[in-house]
Amino acid sequence: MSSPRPIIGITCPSRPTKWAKWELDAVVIPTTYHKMVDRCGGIPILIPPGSSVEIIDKIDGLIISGGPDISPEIYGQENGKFTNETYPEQDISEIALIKSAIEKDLPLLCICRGFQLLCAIHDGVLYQHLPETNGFEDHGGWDGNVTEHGVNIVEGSRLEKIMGNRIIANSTHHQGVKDPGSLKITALSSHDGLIEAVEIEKLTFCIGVQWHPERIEHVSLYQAFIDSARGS
Amino acid sequence: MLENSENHSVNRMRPLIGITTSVNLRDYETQDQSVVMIPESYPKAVKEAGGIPLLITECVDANELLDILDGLIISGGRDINPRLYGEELHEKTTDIDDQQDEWEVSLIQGAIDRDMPLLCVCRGHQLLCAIRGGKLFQHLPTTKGFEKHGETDGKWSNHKIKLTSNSLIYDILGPEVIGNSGHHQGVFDAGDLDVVGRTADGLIEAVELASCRFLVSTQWHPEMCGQKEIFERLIEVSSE
Repeated sequence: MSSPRPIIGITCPSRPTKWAKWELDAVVIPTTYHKMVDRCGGIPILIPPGSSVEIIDKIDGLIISGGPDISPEIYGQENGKFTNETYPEQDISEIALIKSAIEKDLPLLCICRGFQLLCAIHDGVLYQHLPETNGFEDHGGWDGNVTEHGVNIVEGSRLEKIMGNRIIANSTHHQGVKDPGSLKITALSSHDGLIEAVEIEKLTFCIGVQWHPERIEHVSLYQAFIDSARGS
Repeated sequence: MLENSENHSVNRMRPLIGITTSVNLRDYETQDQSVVMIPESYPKAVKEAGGIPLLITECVDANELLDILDGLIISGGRDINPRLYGEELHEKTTDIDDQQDEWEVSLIQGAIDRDMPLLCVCRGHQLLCAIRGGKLFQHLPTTKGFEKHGETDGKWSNHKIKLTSNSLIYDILGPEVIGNSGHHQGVFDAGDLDVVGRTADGLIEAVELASCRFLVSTQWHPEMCGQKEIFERLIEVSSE
């Protein structure tokens, strides 16, 4: 018998969704998230908003996925006019999961919204709307559009060991990290210098990325994350 | 201020209840993206009854998932392939997904083999009946005697279901219950399962297997009808 594959929890949003002839609140997440975990050797399970932190004891790794804007009150701001509808229940349960994962040194990969949330709770601050922010007007696609741009990775970081010093990443976000708080910056967008990745070095695996590695198929990053979750 | 209101003083781990999900194409972030979906009412009902809901996806091997879980819910969704009960596609049977059918069949069979607590809802109820030798009506609105069973044109209706005494569901809910109807197919023959609930028109609304610790299967949606007792019993048996 081969050893069991590590269990990877993936958080999900819930929002009003068309279902057959009805519209109802549904948990929804692109299939790319669980497919990449499966492809890279993990067992994906989806964690709905409002979930108990107890789940941390049953999983080997945690992905905080992309999704809606986080509540600006987390980083001490009022809602700007371009901040979309927020989901405080999801914010609260994901913050609890991130904190518990860090406390228990559980491998943690934070993507897009997850990356922004990771920074915000480490005393970071976000730009609420890049297209109206001086210097980042042309950062990349948002509102349904996806673009690609270069990302330079900081020498000596864990991310550099995994992915090398320059990659192509995708962009489909309208908010960005202005200040990562106490986290270490490990990657910057090559065309405008936006913060694209952070990590906590003292932990086994704690990386946050602004782009969507599940969508652009950054297998090396997933593989490294799942290897950490397996404890190898 | 946002705070985590969770009470951490829990002595023992609450049971993990897997809930199947459906894959559909939706405009989500970008147009026509392949997404995993499940109405939030399912995880909410599990959580409120004291379990930990986990949403499971069809790429993962059924046994690998059952090894993790304490209980399982096969949720509602699209029509099943009539091939599973030896029939051709009716013109009103649409949007079938063989991969989802096969995955859920493996989950149901694996759960019954392990005697894992199992709740089957709507599509799940129909799939359970089909693989136990049963058959479905493929379109109730054109089936003699069931034309008025329930609304299918975007509206839900409610109707009474009489439950059979000496059944598990009778023990949980009593002799009669109000269930909802948003389905256009129904169970014609429940195979080797025990029929334990019917509407006035005679449609099979609830089935069980008495040999299992907990196997309840309903045509209606207990997660939408506030039937918390079903979920509480599922969680209770899953905790044993």
